[in-house]
Amino acid sequence: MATSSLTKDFQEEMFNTVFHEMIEYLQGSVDIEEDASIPTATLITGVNMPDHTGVFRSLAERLRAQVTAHVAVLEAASCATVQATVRTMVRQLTAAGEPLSPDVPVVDEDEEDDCLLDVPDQTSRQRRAPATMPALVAHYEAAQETVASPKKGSPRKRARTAPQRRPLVVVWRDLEAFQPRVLQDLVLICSQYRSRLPISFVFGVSTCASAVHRLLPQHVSARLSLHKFHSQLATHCLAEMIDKVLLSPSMPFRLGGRALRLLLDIFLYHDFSVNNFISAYKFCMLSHFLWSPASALCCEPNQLEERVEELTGAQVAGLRALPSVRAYLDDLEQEERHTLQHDGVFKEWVLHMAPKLHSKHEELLVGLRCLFALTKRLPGALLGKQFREAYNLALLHALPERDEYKRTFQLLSMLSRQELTATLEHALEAVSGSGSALSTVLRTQLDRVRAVDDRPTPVSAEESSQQRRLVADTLKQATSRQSLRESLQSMGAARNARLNPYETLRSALLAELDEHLRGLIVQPSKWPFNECVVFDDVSLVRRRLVGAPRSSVQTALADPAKYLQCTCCQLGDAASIRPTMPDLCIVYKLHLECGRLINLFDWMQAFRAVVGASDDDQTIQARFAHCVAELQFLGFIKSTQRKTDHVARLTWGSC
Amino acid sequence: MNSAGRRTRKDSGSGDNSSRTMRTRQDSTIKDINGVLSVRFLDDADALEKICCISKTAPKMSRVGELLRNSQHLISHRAGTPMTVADPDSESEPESPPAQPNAALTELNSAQLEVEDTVRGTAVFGFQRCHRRSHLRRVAEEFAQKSPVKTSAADIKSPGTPRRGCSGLPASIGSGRRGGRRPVSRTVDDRNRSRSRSRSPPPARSRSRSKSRSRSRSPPPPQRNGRTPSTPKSAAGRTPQTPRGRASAALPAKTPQTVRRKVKLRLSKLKQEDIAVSDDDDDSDVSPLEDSSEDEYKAPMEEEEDDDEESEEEDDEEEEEEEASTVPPAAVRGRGGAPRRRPELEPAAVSAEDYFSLHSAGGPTSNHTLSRLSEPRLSGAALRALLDARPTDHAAERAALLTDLEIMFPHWLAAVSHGFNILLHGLGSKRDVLERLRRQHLRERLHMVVSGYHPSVTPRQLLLTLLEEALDVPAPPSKLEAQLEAVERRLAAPGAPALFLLVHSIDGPMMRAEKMQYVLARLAQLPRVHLLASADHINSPLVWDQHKLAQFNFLWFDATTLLPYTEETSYENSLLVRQTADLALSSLRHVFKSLTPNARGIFILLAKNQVERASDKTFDGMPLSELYQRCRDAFLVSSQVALRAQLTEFRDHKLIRTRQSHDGVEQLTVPLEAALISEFLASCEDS
Repeated sequence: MATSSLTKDFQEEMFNTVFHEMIEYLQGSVDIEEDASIPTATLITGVNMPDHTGVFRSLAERLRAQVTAHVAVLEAASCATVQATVRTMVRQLTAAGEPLSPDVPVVDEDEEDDCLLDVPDQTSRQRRAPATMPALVAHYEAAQETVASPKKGSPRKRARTAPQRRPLVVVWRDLEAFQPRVLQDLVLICSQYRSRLPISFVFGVSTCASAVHRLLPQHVSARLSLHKFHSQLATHCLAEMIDKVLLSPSMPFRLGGRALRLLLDIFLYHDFSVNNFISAYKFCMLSHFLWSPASALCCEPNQLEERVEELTGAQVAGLRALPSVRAYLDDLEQEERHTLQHDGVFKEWVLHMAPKLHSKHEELLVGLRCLFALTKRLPGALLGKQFREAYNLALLHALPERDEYKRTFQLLSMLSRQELTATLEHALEAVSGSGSALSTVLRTQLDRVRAVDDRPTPVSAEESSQQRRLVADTLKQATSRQSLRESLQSMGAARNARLNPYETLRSALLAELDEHLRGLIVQPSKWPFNECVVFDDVSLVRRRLVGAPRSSVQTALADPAKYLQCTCCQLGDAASIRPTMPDLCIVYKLHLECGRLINLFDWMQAFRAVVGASDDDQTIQARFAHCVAELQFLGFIKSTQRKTDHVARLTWGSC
Repeated sequence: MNSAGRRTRKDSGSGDNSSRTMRTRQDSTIKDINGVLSVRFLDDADALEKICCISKTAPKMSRVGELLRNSQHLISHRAGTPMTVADPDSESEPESPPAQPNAALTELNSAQLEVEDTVRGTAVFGFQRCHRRSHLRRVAEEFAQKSPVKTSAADIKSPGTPRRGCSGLPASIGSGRRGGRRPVSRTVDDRNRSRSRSRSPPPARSRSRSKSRSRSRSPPPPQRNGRTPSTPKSAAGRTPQTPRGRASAALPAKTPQTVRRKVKLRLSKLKQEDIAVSDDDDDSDVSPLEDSSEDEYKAPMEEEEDDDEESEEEDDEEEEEEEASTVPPAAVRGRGGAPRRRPELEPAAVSAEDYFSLHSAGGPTSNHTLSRLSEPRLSGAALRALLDARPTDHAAERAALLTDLEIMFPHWLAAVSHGFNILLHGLGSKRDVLERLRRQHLRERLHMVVSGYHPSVTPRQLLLTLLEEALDVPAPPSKLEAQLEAVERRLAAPGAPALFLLVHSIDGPMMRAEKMQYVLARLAQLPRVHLLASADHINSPLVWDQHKLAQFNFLWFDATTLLPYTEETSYENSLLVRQTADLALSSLRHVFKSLTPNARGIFILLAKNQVERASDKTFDGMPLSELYQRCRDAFLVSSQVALRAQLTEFRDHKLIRTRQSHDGVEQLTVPLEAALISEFLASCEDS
C-alpha cells in the first residue's frame, strides 16, 4: 500500500506552481546587481504550522536542485542573536557550496560529517574558517571562480554561462517567530553586502503579508524589494488529498462516515494541518488492519482469491456473522441461505461479492460526483460546498432518502432550459472520466434538452377569452378575501397543470436521472462485507487522537469505582464520600467543598472524620500529608502565603 | 424518531453485541492473516527494520492481540472500561439553553407574547438575536417549500429573505396549527411539536408532559413518538392558541430551579443508560467536536432529519423525555446488560458561575494552624515509614488495572513502530507501567529513561546522556543545537538502532520549560526515536502548542492506575512534610569540598555571621561592604573584584542569595536554616 508515497507525491505536486514561480523570480534576481535592495519572496503559507516543515524542506531541496547550491534555511529557535543568526546562515551557505569548491581552504564539510562521531566536534569547529560575512564573501568569490574556470569548452558556451552567478538564497521559516531586532539587523547587514553577494531572501509568513511591515520599520523594508507568493490553501490541499488518496480506486481501505467526519472536524476546527490529517488517517488504517478481523479481505482485487482460499472455518463463520452479511442473508430465500451455510459455497459467494465492494464504491463516487455537480449551481449549497461534504453525507446517511436530495430535485425541476443545459453539462463533465453508464445517460439527456422547444404552448384566443371571463366571474363571486384567494389559487393550479413540451421533458429527464442516481448512491454500510474495507470505529479514533487527560483524572478522583470496579466504593450520589475510597479521592472530595483557601488543619480533621479512627493520629497525618502532596503534584492546589497553614485551590467548580 | 425506527435501532444494537461476541470467537483464527497483513502494511523508509520488529513480535502480538481483544471485551463487561472514561465531552455536555429553541417561535406568537409578563420576555429575547433570526428564516423557507401554493422558481432561488419569511409566516403557520385540516405532513407536525416545546423550558415541564403523553399513548403502543404523522399528541385536543401560550409561559416560573435540575439530571442519566444498552460500542461518547452531530449518528435511516440544528437539539431532548416516560425502569435495564461505559460527569459539569461563586463567596476559614498537632510536620522518612506500615487499599483492583495496561503493551509497540508516540494520562503513578514495559519488552532494545519529575533535569543533561551513554558518541558537542544535530545525524546513519525514550512525567516541573519541550519534540520527530511518555498534571496539555503536538504525534492512552505518586512527590516541597534539607546540606558539602581554601574561608565567614545573628529579627543579610572588610582583615581577598568573582561562583551553586535592600545595598544570605548552617559549620570544624 503506497499511501505514504502517494501523499508525498501529492504534496510535491500541490506546491509545484508556487515553487515554480518563486524559483523563476529568484533566478531572475541575480541580474539586478546594481540595485541595493534585496529581492525578497514572501511566501504566505497559512496557519497550518505543522505542515510547514515539509513545505520548507521541499522548497530548499528544489532551490538546491534548480537555482543554487547556496541555500540557508533559518529557524527562529536557533537565531536568538544577530551573531548566532549570521553564523548559522554563513555555515549553511558555505557548507552547501563545498562540493563546488574542493580547493577552498575551508574544512570540507563532508569529511567533517563522516568523522564527526569520532573526532571531537570542538576541534573541527576550530579548524573551520570563521563564520562571518567577509568569510562568506571570500568563499563565494572563490566558489564562483572555480565554477567558471574549469569550463574550458567552446567559448560560446562559456560566454553564455559566465555571467550567470548563482544567487545565495536565505529562507526564513516562520518569519513572525524571529526577534524583530535580529531580523532588522540582518537585513541591513545583507543589504550592505548586496553589491558583492547576490543574496536574496525567502520569507515564510504564516499570517498575512503585512506582518513583514509590522516586523520591519520603513528604513529596513526599503532595502527589500518584496514580491508576494501565495501557497496553496490547506483546504485545497485537503480536498486534493481526499480526492487523490482517500477516494483513489487503487486504495482498498475506506474510512467510514463517522470516522471521516471526526477527522474532518479535527482538521477544520482544530489545526488545518494536512499532515495531521494524514497521520490520523494512517492511524485508522493501522487500527483497521491490526484489530479488525474482517480486514483480512481488505486487499487488492487480484490478491483476493488467495486470501479467500486461506480463510479457515472459524474465519468464515466470523465473516458470516458480520452484521451486513447477516442482514443480507436474512433477506435471501430460505434455500439460498441453506446452501450458503456450506463453507465452500460461502467462500465462492465471498469471492463473488467482495470485488463488488470496490466497484460499488466507484459507482457511489460517480453518482455522487454527478449529484454534486447538479447541486453546485443551486442555491443554498444543499450538499455542501466541497465534494468531501457530499461524500461524508453519503457515507453517513442514505442520501436519496434525505431532504437535501429531494430538495435538489425540487429545485432542478424549476430550472429553465438554459440553466438545465448548463447544469447537465457540468454533471456530464464530472462523470465523463469514469466511463460509467451515467455519462451516456447524461449525454442523451443533454441532446434532448437542446433539441426541445421551450416556448409555451400557444393559448388559443377562445381559451384566453374564456379565461378572462372566468376571472371576471370569480372577482364578482368572491365575497370574502379568503374565498377570492382560494379561487385564485385553484385557477393558478389549473393553469400550471398545462405544461409546455420542455417542462414535460424536464420532469421526465429528472425522473430518469433520479432513478439512476438512486441506483448508484447506496450507503456503504448497506453493502454486504463492508466491514472488510470500511473502518468506522470513531470512538477509538477519538480516544487516541483527541486526548482528554483532565477528564480522566477527575473521573478517577470523583468516582474511583469506575476504574477500580469495586463494590465498596459505589456512589449513589456524585458528591458523596465513602470511607473505603482511596485516600486521595477522599481528600480531593473534601477539598471540593472549600473555597479559594483551604485550612490544612481543618482539612485534616475532616479527613480524619471520614476515614474513621481505624488508624492512630500519626498514620492519618501521614496519609493526609501524602495526599496533599499528590494533589499539589497534580495541580489542584498550591501553597500560599496569604494565611498560615493554608493552601490555595487552583480549580473551580464541583468536579 | 418514530417507534419503528427506535425498534430497529435497538435491534441493530443487540445485533452488534452478538456480532461482537462472534468476532471475538473468530479472532483466534484470523490473527495469523493479520500478522501477515500488518507486515504488508508497512511501507516506510525503514520498512525493513519495522518488518523485523513486527515479525519478531508478530507471533506474540497476534496472540496478545487476541488476548487483548478478549480482554477488552472482558473489561467492557467487567469494568467501566477505563478507555471510554477519557471522553472529552464529559467536560461539557451541552444542554440546549431553554430559551434558545423558544426564541424563534415565540416571536411568531409575538402578538400574544407581548402581553405576557415582561420578565420572561426579556429572558427570551435578550439573547441570540441573530440565531433567532436565522431560525425564523429557516422556518419560513421550509414552509415556503412545503406549502401547497406553487411557488415560482425565482422565489425559491432567493429563499427566505427575511422579509418574506416574516410576512409569510404567521398566516401559514396558523393554518398548520389549526390542526389536521390538510394532510399532516411531517414538518407541520414537527413544527407543532417544536412550538409546543418552545412554550416551556424543556426539562421541568417535560416530565408532566411526557407523562401525560405516555398515558394517552399507552393503550396501543405502536406510535410512541411525535415524529409519526398521526400521533395522538399532535392530534390530541390541543388547547387553543392563546391560553396555551400563556399557561406554558407562566409555568417555568413555578418550577423551582432545583427541581428542574434534578429532573434534568435524572433524564440525562436515563438517557445514558439507554444509550449504553442500545449501542454500547461507540455512540456512547461524544466529543465536543460532535455535539450537534451525535444524534445524527444515532439516527436510524428512516428518520427524516431536519437540517436545522436547533430542532436537532430539540429532538435530542425530546428523545430524552421519551426515554424518561416510556422506559420507567431504565436503570434496571441499563444495568442488566452492558455496564455503563461512560462515566457521568454531567452533574459535575463545570459552569462559569462556579468560578464566580468560588471567588465571591470566599467565606472565612478558621484560624486553626497545624501547631495544634503534636508534630506539625512529619519528616519525610517518618512519613514513608508510616505509610509503608499500612496495607494499601484496593490492592487487588489496582493490580488488575496494571495488568489491563500490560495487555496493551504490544499495541503501544505496534503504534510506536509506525511513527506514533504514546502518551499515557490518567490518575495514579504511571512509573510502574513504563517500568514494566521497559522490563518486559525493551530490555534488549536501546532505550533511555527520563525522570521528568526530578527537579534537576535539563535539556542539555538529557542530550548529553543520550549522546554519551545511549549513542556512544565520545566527546559530544556542548551547544544544545549542536547536540541535537549530532543526535539527528547519529540516528540518521544507516544501521542506527531505534531508540526508545521513556519519559516519566513529561510535564514535570523542569520539563515544562520551552527548551525542554523543544528538544523532546525534535527528538520525537525523528523516525528512529520512539517516545513513550506519561503526563500527570491536570493542565499538562497547555505545555504543547499546535506545532509541538504535531511533532510529537501522540496517541493518547488512559492509563489510570490509582497508584500513589510516591517517587514523584518525594522531590516536591510538600506542605506538610518537614524540610529535612538533607539534599541541600549534602550538595553544600560537595560544592564546599571543591572550593579553594580562601573561598571556603569567605563562605564560613558569611555562614558564621548568619548563625550569630540568627536570633536578630531585623537581620536580612550581610552587606557586601562589610563582608569585604572582614575578608580583607582575614587576608582572604585582596580586592573587591576578587571577592565578587568568588561570590558569583557561590551564587551559581546556589550557596548564597543576594538581595538589594531598600537603600540599594547588596545583602548576602545563605539560604538555609540556622540550625543546618551550624550543623554544617560543626562538620567543617571536625574535618
